[in-house]
Amino acid sequence: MPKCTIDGKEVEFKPGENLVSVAKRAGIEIPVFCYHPGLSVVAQCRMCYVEVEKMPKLQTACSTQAAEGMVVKTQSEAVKKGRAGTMEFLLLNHPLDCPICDKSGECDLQDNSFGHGSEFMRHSEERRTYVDVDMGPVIQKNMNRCIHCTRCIRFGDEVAGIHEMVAIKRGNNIDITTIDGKQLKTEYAGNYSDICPTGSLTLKDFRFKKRAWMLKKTPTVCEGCSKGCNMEVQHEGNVVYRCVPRENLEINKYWMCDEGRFNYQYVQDPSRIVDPMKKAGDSWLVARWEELLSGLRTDAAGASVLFLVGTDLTNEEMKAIQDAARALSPKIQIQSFGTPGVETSGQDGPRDQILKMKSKTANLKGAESLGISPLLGSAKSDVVVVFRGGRAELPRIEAKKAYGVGVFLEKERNFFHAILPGLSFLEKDGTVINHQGVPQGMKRALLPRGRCKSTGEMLMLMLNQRNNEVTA
Amino acid sequence: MLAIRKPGFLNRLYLIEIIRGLWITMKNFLFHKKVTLQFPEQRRDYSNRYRGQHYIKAVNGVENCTACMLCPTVCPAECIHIVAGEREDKEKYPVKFEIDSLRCCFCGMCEEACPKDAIKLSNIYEMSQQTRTVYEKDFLLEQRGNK
Amino acid sequence: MSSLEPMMMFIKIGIVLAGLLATVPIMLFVERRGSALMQNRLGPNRMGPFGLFQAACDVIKFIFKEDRAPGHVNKFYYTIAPWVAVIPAFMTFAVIPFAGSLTLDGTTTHFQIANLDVGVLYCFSIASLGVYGIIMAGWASNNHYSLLGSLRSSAQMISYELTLGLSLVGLMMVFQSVKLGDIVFEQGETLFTLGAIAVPKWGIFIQPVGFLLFLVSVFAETNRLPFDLPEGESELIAGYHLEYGSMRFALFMMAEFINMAVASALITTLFFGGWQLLPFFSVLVSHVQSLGLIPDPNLVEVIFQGLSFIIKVAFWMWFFVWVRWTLPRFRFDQLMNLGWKVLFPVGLLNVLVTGFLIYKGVL
Repeated sequence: MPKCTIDGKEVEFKPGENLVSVAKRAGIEIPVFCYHPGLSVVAQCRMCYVEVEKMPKLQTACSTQAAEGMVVKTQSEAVKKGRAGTMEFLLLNHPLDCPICDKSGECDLQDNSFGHGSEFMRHSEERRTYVDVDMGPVIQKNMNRCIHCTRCIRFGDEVAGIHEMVAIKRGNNIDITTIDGKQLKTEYAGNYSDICPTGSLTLKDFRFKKRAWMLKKTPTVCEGCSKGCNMEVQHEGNVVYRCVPRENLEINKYWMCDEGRFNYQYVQDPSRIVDPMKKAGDSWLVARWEELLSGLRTDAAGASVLFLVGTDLTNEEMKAIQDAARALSPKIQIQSFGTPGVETSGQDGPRDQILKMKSKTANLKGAESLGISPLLGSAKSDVVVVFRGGRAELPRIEAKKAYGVGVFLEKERNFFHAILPGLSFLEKDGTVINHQGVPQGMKRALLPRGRCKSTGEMLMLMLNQRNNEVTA
Repeated sequence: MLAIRKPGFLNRLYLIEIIRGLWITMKNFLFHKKVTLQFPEQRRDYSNRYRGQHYIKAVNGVENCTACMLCPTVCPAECIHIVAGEREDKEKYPVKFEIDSLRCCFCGMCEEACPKDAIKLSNIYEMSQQTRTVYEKDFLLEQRGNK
Repeated sequence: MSSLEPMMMFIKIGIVLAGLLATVPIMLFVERRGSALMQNRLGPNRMGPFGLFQAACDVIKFIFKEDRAPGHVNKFYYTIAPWVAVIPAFMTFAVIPFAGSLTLDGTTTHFQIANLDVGVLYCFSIASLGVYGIIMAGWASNNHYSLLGSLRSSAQMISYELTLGLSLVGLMMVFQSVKLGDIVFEQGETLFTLGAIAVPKWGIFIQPVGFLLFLVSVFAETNRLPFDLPEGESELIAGYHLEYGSMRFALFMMAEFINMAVASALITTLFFGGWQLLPFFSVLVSHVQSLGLIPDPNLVEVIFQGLSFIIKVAFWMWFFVWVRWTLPRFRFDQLMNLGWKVLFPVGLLNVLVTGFLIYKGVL
C-alpha cells in the first residue's frame, strides 16, 4: 500500500482516497463543510485547506487525492490563516441566532468557528436576509443561516434521486431553494437536516422541542422495514425527541427514510394501550395481569389454538413464544404475519432504489430462520393469540376469542377480547435479521410505559402458574 | 510554647473577675451603640451585585428570552424549566418559564450564561411567600428590583 | 382580736399575691429588653411605648394558645407538674416581712402574712418542694431530654440546699432567731459609726461570706444562669419543659420568675435589712411627714419601708438578669465540684468562725 505523511505521521492509503479521509484514519481532523463522505466532492467551502509540500498554494484536502510520498501539513501557519479567512467569509452573513437555532450544539459552523475562526469580527455591514419558502412537512428552511455548501443539492441529485434543490442567483444574492419554490417531494427529506452543516435546514418535527446537548443518545436499529437501517434514538426523560441515522456502509450508508425516522411516534402515542384491558360488552375495562394471563393459559389449552407471531418481534421473543406454545399444548399452531403480500423473504425486495424494502417489518428473515410458517389469508381458529411489536399489519381474525399481546393503539383493539400490553422496539433489547441476513441488535432506550410487560415476562408468569404473584 | 499560668488565689476566687464581667455587661447595657436595624423603616444597603429575586428583562414589552435553554443547562440546582414555542412577533419564545425558588441557590450562573441579557437577578431580597414556590413567567416579567 | 385584723390579713395577702403576679410580666419585659440591650440589640420595642405591652402580648399569646399534650406523656403528672412547681413558689412569700408595723385603732398590724416561729426553715422546706414539679415534668414527659433535665435539676437543687441552709446558720447565731420578722427588726440597729455615717447591722456586714454562699446557692436553687443546667438548650434542647406548651409552659416560667422574686426577697430580708429604710430615705420620711399630706406619720413610714423593700428586691431581681448575660453556663461536674468541694466546706468554716467570734464577743 502506498504511504503519505500527514503532520509527520506515515499513513497508508488506498489509491484515489482523498486527504480528509486519510487524515481521519490517522486521527487528524480536517475541518469541512461541503465535503460529505457519502456525496461527491465539490471543494466549495474552502475550509479543508492543507499545505502540501512542493505545491505553491494551499490545497483543499477533500479534492486532493493522496499520492505516494506526499507530505501534508494541516497545522501550519499558512493553513491556520487560510482557515481563519474562510471562517470569516462564511460568517459574514451568518446571523448570530444560535440561541434560537435548533442546530446549535451539533452545528459544524459553531464547532469550526470555535476551533478555527477568529474571536472578533471586522465586518459591521447589514447582513443579507431572505424570505423563506415552505419546504413541506418535514423540513423548515432558514436561508439566512446558509453557507452554500450545496450538500443538500448534491444529496437530492446523488442519493435521493430527485433534483429538487437548486442554487439560484449568484454571488452575494445566492439562494439555495427548491425548483420554483415547490415543496420537497422526496421521502428522504429528513436527511437534508442531518447533512446541513448549519441550521438552515432543520426538522419541523423537532423544532424547538429540545436542545441538542440535552438529549441522550442510544444506538439501535430501525424497525421500519427489513432493511434494518442503523439509527440513533435521541431521548430525554423517557421521551423520544428524534431519530437520526447511524453510519453503516453495508446497509444504510449515512441515510434513512422519513418513514423510519418518524416511526418512533407510535411509541409515545397517547392512544397506545399501556394497561392490561379486557372487553366487557362494548366497552373496555382495565384488568389485572393475573386475570388475563390465567385466562390466556386456560384458553390456550383448548383444541384449536393459533398463535400469530408478528414479524416485527425480535428473535428472542419469537423463540420464547415457540417454547411457551410447546410447553402449553402441542396442538398450538404458530404462524407469522407482517406485510400482506410479502409473506416470505423470497417475495421481499427493494421498494425503491434507495433504502426502502417491501416488507414493512424488520424481522421477516428471523421468523423464517426459526421455522415459523407465514399466515396466508385470514386467521381462523377458536382462539387466536396475536403477538405483535407495533408495526406488523393485523390480518383478518375469525375467532371465538382473540388475545392481543404487544403494542396496540386504541383504534386497533376492536378485533380482540383482551389486550396484554407489551414493549415497543425502543423499550426492549433484542436481535433482528435484516433482508441480507445480517443480525443486528436493538437496544433499549426507554423504560416501559404504564404497566407494559415484556413478552418474555408475560409468558414466564403464565407458564409458571404463579399468577397470584403478579402484582402489577 | 504553651505557657502554663498558675492562677493566684484571687484569680481562683473569681470574685473580682465576675465583678469585672458584670461591669462589662453593664457598660454594654448603658452606653454601647445598638446595632439593631429597624427593618421596615430602615433598610440595609446592598451592593448592586447582590443576587436576589430573579426577573426576565423585557424590551418594549417583548421578553428578551428566546428559550435557548442555556440557563437550565448551566443551572447547578436544576431549578429552571422552560418550554419553547413560536409566535407571530417572535420566532422563539418561552411558553413556560418557571423557576423553582425552593431549589434555586441564587448562584447567578443563569445570568452569566444568558446570551440575551434576559434572566437577571435583582436586588429584591424580601421574597418570603406563603404559597407560591415556583415563579411563573408572568411573575418574573413583573419583577425589577432597582435595575 | 378586733374586726380590723381579718381585713388587714386579706389586704396583706392581696398585696403579696398581686405583687407577685405583677412581677411575672414585668420580669418578662425586663428580661427581654434587658438582655437585648446588654447584647447591643434593641429587643422588642414595637408594642406600646418602649415595647411595654410586649409582656401583655406574650401573656395573651400563652393564654390563647392551644393546650395540647403530646400522646406519649403520662397525663396525670404531666398536668399537675406545672402547678406543683408554681404553688410552692407563691407559698414561700408568706413569711417574708415587707414593711414594718402599723397601729390603727389600737390594732397593730405587722406587714408579714405569717411570722412563723420556724421562719427561714419554712422558706427552705417549701422552696425545696419546687423540685418536685420539675421532676414530675421530666418524668411525665416521657422524653430522654426532659428526664435528663429533671435528673440534673434534682441533683443540683439537693446539693445546693445544703449550702443554702449552712450559709444562714451564722446569721441565725448572730441574731439568735430564725423568725424573719425578728431578723429584719434587729438589722435596724447600728453596727458601728464612721463619723457621720452610721453603718446598719445588715446581714451583709456581719456575714459577708455567708452572703456570698447564699447568693451562689440561690442562683442554683432558682435554676438561673449560670446554673440553668436543667434546661441547657445546647445539650438538652429545653430540658424538663421540652414537651410543654401554651399556659403550662407559662406556669413553669412563672414559677421561675416568682422563685427569683422570693430569692431576691430573702436576700433583701436576711442580708440587706429587709424593709428597713434605705440610708437617705429617713430624711425623705421626715420631710413628707412635715408636709402633713398624710395624717398618720406612722403610715408614711410604712409606705417608705415598703418602697425600700421593693427597691431592694427589684435590684436583686435585676441582678439575676444581669448575671444571666454575664456568666456562661457551668458544666455539670463543675457545678457539683463547686457545690460540694468549695461552697460546702466554706459554709462549715463560716459557722466555725462565727461561733468563735461570738464566743470572743466580737459579734
